[in-house]
Amino acid sequence: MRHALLALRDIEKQYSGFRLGPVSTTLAPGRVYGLLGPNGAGKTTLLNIVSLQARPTSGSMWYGERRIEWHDAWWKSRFAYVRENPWFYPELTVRRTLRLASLLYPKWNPERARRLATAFDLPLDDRVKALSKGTRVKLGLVAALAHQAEFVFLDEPTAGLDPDAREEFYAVVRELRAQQPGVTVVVSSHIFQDLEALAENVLILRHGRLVRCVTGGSLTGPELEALYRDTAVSARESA
Amino acid sequence: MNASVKRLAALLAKDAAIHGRDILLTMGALVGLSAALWWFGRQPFDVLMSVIFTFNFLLAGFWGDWLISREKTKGTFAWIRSTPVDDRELVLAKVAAVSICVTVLWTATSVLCGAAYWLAGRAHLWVGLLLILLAFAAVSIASRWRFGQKLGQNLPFLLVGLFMAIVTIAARTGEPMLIDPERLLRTHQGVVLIASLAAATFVGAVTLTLHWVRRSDTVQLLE
Repeated sequence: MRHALLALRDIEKQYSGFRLGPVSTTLAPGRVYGLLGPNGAGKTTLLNIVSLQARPTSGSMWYGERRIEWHDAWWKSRFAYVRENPWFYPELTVRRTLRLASLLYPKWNPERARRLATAFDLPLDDRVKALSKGTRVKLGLVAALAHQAEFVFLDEPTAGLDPDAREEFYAVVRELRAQQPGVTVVVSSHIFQDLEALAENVLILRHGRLVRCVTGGSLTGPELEALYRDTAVSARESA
Repeated sequence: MNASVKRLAALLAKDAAIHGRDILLTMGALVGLSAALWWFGRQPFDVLMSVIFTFNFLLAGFWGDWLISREKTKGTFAWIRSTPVDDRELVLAKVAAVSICVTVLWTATSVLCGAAYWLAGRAHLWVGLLLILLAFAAVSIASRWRFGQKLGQNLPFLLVGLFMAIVTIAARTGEPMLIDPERLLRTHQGVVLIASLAAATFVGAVTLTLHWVRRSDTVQLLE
């Protein structure tokens, strides 16, 4: 399958008391992007916009030559979004959740879903409300892989996880990339370790603005932290 | 099967899995109560039907609220909205779910007295009352989707209460009413008029909800 670039052009979103953007950037296929920024920097808002959960006040999104419209079901079948907060139906079992997802996504691969659920050790007969946060994230990733998502957006997936669960999460994301090499992953986090472990590209957001893009690097945690502090100083000076 | 119909069926099955037991319990309780009133109440037919209709009416409002409230408070609309489900399918699935429940309950509870109704040649009234129930359920869904918990849950009942209060006060003071619902329900033309108003309310509530949901960010649909 040939995947295309996702381009954001002058994306802006205005809420009362908060403004995101204008943000312009491109996400290349097969890469892992880290979205770094303090609380309130606009990471979730940006992910909400690319996943069509929030309508931008202005600007546009493009998948290759195709403009992505609000409510674009075609685009929605190409990404998976896993958020920090409760996401799937807590009353449904894992098996039933996967069955529901299989009916909603046109490109669902049931054999793959079964294989991944076993590989990721998902308790199929447990209700979602009984799962740990880490297992819920795994469920989201299984669903993403089973419907052959080209983009996976993960909003603060490691917040609240202990170090072991975080390591397990990194392994799951690596597994996801091994299973589906063309997939683009965007992970928002304010934990440097996460991005050191996963991201090849880092986008730093501050006060709703994209202040730095580090591409193709392999930055260590301390280097990332220094870069992050540097953007804080620059942001204060420019203010 | 058409992909949209398949998604609609999946959403209905999901609501059945989540709310089915609660809805069946309330349905069973009301059918039992209706049967008891019919067999042991010795009430005049019209009084019995008024009581049964009132219970159906209350449940139509509660079910509309249930179907939306849980999704709003648990944030599950956000997942559904990140899948290829269109907002039209999302709204239609909710309206279809509550309409099925309301129709089944109204049929089950009134069928106990159905023979007398059909014999009396007033089947049109049965349909007219069903349309009122469906309209109220749709208004309840619209209100709960559009507003927060307190206002969303209570607004439909407040509107009905206000309407009933105006009718009652006008009847007691001898004011000539533009519309007298009781008299209207006794004539064929009156029932057709009320049924048409109910159908228009149903369509209006669904259209407004669809418009609201389609233009809203997901965060506006959650609590």
